[in-house]
Amino acid sequence: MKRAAFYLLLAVAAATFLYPFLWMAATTFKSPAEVGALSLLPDQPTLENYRLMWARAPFGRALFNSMLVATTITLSVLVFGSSAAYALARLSFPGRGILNAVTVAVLLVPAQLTLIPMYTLIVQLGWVDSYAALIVPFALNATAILILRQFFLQVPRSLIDSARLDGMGELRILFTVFWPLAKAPLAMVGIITFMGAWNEVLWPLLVVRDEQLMTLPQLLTVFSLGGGAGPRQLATKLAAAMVLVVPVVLAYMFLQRYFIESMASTGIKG
Amino acid sequence: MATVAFEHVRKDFGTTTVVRDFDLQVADGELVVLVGGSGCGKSTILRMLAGLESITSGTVRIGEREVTHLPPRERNVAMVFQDYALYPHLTARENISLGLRLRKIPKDEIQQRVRWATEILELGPFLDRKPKQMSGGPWCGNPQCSCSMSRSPTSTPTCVARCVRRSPKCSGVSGPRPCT
Repeated sequence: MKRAAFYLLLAVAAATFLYPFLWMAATTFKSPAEVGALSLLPDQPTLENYRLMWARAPFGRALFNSMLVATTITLSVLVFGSSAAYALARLSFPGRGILNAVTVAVLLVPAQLTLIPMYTLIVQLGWVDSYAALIVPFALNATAILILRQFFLQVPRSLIDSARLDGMGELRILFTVFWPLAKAPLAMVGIITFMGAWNEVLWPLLVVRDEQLMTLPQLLTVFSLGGGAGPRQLATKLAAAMVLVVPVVLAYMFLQRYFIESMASTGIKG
Repeated sequence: MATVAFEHVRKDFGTTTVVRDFDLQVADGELVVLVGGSGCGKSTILRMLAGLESITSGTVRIGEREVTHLPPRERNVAMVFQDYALYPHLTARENISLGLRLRKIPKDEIQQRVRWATEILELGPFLDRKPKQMSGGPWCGNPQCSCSMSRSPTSTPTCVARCVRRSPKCSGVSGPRPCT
């Protein structure tokens, strides 16, 4: 009985989170007359909202841009972040302690604080309205370095020694020995980075004005602000939001096991 | 195999000297055991021989070759670690052959090495298992240790170093070994 009550409570809690999302998903298939209704099942399901969304703004192009930018950032953070983490965790060189301290200190600086200097830099480099402006500033981050460094510190030294005796150089040790062992933290860093890059709105709004280069959340923001209000527009905007959210949900579903495993082992909470 | 010589070898960690004026001559095929208290430098000496630790002063020779400043991969030394240091994500077969593959040893020779390990060290039932799946079972001996011993950067190492505690984990190894 107690157990049933517990599960009922959990179900109610889950429903409060799920309902708005399900309502959003359902509304994208509703006709304009039904948009305000609270029901989850549309009377006359229609794909009109998706057609309208696609016709009114270059969402296809924006989806491609977002995919390109988020994937490149994620790969870059994994490769460069793990390289930096490996060096900071396992190599001895002068200044390592200072670099470790600086990496932690970077976390203390709010991102908003660096926006203007970063924007000025991008303007001076002539990168406004380019993929470089969207990718390069996020190609490496301190969180990734710290998470991976923490894991790399736990790898036994004998394994590195053994790899050196086998004739491996440092990069090969990183990618042949450490990467397969670090699947869980790498997956977690990957998904956190991908989600961050995918959902980023403020930075693209600053550095990109060309519609052909806009990312999905940016175009969605511009579309929502410029597209006017009212229920007719609402379903179309929600359709665009669905296109934004689906890839992240899919990525999470694929990597969920690693994500939970890694959160449990590193004690990092999202 | 080959001779090994340490000549006036010294090792400092910062201001602490852990090995002072160390001399040792090991003949070809000779078995040498270093015994001493914890922290006296036994492992450091083996690590200096393998090239995993730099040498503050002195000379190390393997055969006729001076190897004092050579990186580990150029020394042709095999080492069995106290915790075996097997790659956890690879099977025994892959663990044995990885170093040989990296040195572009012909496939036939690699297979020969794996066969040797299988027969001499009784590794047959474990070849396609990962290190975690090796312990236990009806077989006598310690397959992880056997697997570790059969790993070598070349098919014929000139020298084999091995770290064990006084209550060795490897005590149950069956079958002859290349050198301990």
